[in-house]
Amino acid sequence: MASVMAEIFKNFTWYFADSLYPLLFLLSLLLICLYPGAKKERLSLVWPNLLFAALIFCPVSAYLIMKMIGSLVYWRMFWMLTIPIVIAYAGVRLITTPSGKPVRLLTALLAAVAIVFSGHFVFTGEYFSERTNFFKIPTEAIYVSEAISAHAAEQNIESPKAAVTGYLSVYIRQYDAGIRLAYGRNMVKGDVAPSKLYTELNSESPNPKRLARLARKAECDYLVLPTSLDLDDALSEYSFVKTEEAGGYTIYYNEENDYG
Amino acid sequence: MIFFHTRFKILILLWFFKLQNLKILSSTYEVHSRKRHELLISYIVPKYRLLSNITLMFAISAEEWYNLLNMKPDNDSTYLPDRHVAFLIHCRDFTENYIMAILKLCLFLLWVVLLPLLIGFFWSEKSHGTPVSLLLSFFYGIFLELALFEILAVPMVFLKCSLVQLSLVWLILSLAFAVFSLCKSGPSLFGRLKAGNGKRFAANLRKRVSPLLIVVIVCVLLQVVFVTFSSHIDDDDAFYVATAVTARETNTLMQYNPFTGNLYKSLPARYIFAAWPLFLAALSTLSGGLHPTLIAHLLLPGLVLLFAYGIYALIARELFPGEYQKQDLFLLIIILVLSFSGFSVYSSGTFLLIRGWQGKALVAGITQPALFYLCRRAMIGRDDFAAWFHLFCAVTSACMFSSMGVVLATVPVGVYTLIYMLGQKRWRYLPCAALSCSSAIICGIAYLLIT
Repeated sequence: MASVMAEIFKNFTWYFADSLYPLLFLLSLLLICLYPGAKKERLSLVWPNLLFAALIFCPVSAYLIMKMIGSLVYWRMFWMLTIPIVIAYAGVRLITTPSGKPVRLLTALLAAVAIVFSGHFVFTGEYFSERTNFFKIPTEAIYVSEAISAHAAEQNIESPKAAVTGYLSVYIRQYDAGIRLAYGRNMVKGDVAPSKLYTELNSESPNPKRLARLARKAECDYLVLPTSLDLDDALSEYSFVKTEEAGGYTIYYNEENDYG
Repeated sequence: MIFFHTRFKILILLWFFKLQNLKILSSTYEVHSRKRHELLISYIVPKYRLLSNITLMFAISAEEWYNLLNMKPDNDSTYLPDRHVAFLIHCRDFTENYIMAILKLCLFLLWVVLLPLLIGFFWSEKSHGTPVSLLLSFFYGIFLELALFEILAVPMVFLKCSLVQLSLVWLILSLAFAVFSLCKSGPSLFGRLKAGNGKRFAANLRKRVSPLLIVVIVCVLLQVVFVTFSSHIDDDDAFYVATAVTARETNTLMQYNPFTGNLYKSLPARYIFAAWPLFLAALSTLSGGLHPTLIAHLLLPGLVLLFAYGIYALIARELFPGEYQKQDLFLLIIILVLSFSGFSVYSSGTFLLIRGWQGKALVAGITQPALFYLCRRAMIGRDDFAAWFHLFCAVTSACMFSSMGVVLATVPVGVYTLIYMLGQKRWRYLPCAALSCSSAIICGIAYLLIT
C-alpha cells in the first residue's frame, strides 16, 4: 500500500511539477459548486472530476491500473481530469458575474495573471527550436541517408544495411526506410542489451579492425562514423572504403560486400 | 499577337516567382508552329485568355517547355540566349516541383478536411437541438473516418494485407459514406440555401464576429503558425513515424521492424491495435506520395491544434448556448491555460502543443475533450443517437491513437455514464455506454490474451 501511494505521488509530482495548476483546478471546482444555477455543470464538471481524482489516488484502483499499464506511465491517468474546461468555465462565471464593466475587466486581468503565474509558457526554446528542414529531423541524417541511397543505387544494392552512430540511428529511418540499420533506438535507449557492434561504434576511439570485423559479421554494407575520428586510411585496410562525407559524417562502403 | 501571348506567359511565370530582372523579356522569339493553334484558340476567346494562358503554361510538360524555348530561329527572328533558357528551365523545374507539392497538399486536405465535412453533414443534421454547423459536421466526420480506419486496419494487419489495399478500401468506404451523406442531407441543405438561408447565414456571421472572437482567432492562428514552422524533435518518432515510413516503403502493415527494417518474427503485441502510424502511411499513399514524415511533422501539428480548439468551441457552445461573448471568453481562457501548461513534459497541454502528430498526444488533447462533449450531448437532456454513435467512433479512434486509449477512453466514458445515470436516474445509459465502449473492450481483452 505504501509503495503504491509513493508511486502515485511520484507520478503526481512528475505531472504537475512546481505549478499551481492543481490549486487553480480545485478552486475552480469549488467556484462551480458554489455558483447558483450550475446544476448541469456540477453534474458534468465537478462530480466526474472528483471521481477521476478518487480513482487516481485510491491505492486499490491505482494498483490495478498500474498492473495493466505499468507504473512508469501512470501519470497519463491525469489526462482524464478536464482541467482546462473546469478552469475556463469557472473563469467565465467569475468574470461575467459582476455587473460593472471595470470590475469585469479587473477580474479578467486577475484571472489571467493567476493562470500565467500558475503555469509555464510552452512556446519557448525549452520545447521548440528553429526548423532546419521541412522534415524537422537533424539535417545530417538527411544528408547521410541521401548519400547512402545514391551510392547503393550505383552499386545496385536494393536494400542497403548501415551501421551508424547511435544519434543518427534514431532519425535515418524516419527519412528513408529503404536503409536497414544494424540497431535502432531501442538499443540506444537501453531497452535491449547493447551489441558488440553498437559498443564499438559508439566508443570514443573505435578500433578499426574490430569495427570492420563486427560490421562484416552483421552484414553491413556501410559504416557511418563522425568525420572527426579520421579513420579513412585505417578502415580502408579492412575493405571499408570512404565514399563520401555528408553532414559531418563519413560513409564507408564495404568492398567485400557479397551478402547476396 | 503570338509574340504577345508567349511573352505574356513568360511575364506571368517570372512575376509569379518574383524575379527582378525583366530584361529577358525585351528579347522576343519565334514560337514553334505546333503550339500556334493552342495560342490561337486562347487568343480567339479573349474572355479566357488569361486563364488559358496560365493553364497552358502549367500544362506544358518540361520537355515541351524546353523545346518551345530552345527552338532555332528563323532568319528574321531572334531567340533567347542559352543562359536565359537555362534560367527558365530552372524556373520550370521549380514550377513542376512546386505544382506537384501543391497538388499533393490539396489531395491531403481533401481526405483530411473536405471528406470528413461531407460525411458529417448527415450526422450534424440528425443531431437534435443543434443547427447544422460546419464544425459539428467536421467533428462527426473525422471521428467516423478514424474509427472506420481502425476497424479495417486491425484485421488487415493480421491478414497481412498491403498498405495500398487498406488505403483503397478505406477510401472507397469513406467516399461511400460521403455520397450517402450528400444524398440524404444535400437536398435539404441546398433547399435551405436556396430559400435565403445563405443570406441569413451571412447576417448571423456578421452578428457573431466580435473583437473577442477576433482575438481568439488571431491567438489560435499564431499558435498554428508557430507549431508548423518551428521544430520539436522527439525520439519516440524513431518508432511511430518510422513505422509509417516503413509501411510506405514496403507496402506492408506492421510486418517490418521500424528500428532496423528487419522482418518481425512475430507481430508487435503492444502496438498492433494502435493503427495511427498506418493511418499516416495511408494518407501518404492517397496524397500522391507525400512523405509520411512531412505529414507528421509539418502538416499535422497545426491541423491537430485547430481540431482541438474546434472541439473546445463545440464545448463552449454546449456550456453557454446562445451566449457568444461567454463562448469567446471560454475559448480565450482555454488558449491561456493550454499555452501555460508547459510546467512539465507530461501535461496534456504540452503533449498537444509540442507533439501533436503522435497518437498519445491525440489521446491527451483530442480524445478527452471529445469524450466530455459527446457524453454530455448523449446523456444530458436529449436522446441524441448521433452523439451515441460518435461516442463509439471516438472510443474506437482512441484505441487507434494509442494502446493507452483503451483505458483512457473506457474509464472516462464509464465515469460519465455512472454520474449521469445516478444524477438523472436513467438506467438505460448503461447498455448504450457499454455498446459505445465495445471496441475498446474487445481491444483490451485481445491485448490481455496476446500478452
